[in-house]
Amino acid sequence: MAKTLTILWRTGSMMAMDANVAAKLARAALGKGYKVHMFGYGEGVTAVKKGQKPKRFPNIGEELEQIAKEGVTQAVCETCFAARGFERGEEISGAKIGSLTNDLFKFVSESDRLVTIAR
Amino acid sequence: MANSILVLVTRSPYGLEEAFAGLRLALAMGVNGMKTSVLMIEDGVFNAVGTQRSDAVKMPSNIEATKELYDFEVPVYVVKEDLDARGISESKLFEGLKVVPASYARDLLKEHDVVTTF
Repeated sequence: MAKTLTILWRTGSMMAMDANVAAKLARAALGKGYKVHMFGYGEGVTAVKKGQKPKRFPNIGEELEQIAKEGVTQAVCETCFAARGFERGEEISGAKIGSLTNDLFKFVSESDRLVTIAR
Repeated sequence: MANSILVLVTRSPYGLEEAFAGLRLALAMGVNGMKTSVLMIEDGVFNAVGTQRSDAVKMPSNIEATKELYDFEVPVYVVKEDLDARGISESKLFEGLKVVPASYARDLLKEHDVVTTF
């Protein structure tokens, strides 16, 4: 049976590469046969904002959208998303606006490993 | 399959959202019946001070966020050495917290399937 990894990331889309590292880790784990969940919490939710246009840096929204297509389950904290002025429909495709109580709990319950990426 | 989680709170309250976010994550796990423990360690022990005035900075109270965990039998531990290093006496702490030696952290790490840090 495939092992399951949850990546909890809490750093935003800009000013740090943490979310990009989380995406890379997710893809690497997929490649090793893991089932992978990702949950964005706190500032991390900004990484799933649709329509990001960074001029010189990798587009984390596009990266996350791509790995969602490859099979990574993604959810972010709705309270954190709303607190930053974002509404449902402003997220990239493949990311769910979810909750700690439902989505993160389910992810962690299913997981063999939990990796936290934050500052 | 993880059946238990240890939440390490390593940051002080109010200047950062981290400690509050960790306490809310612990609550979310606890309400679902997962064995959950919180360990306030390093600067996280500042969250244990009973005379916090969250209203002074118009922030939600980390004391209330901690006490909500008690309703779901989530124990909250505080590292004694980190209190001592910061000059915080145990008489300053609010009720319900369990002060433990730093060596107990090792036991907690062994007792839980997964760990997250705030």
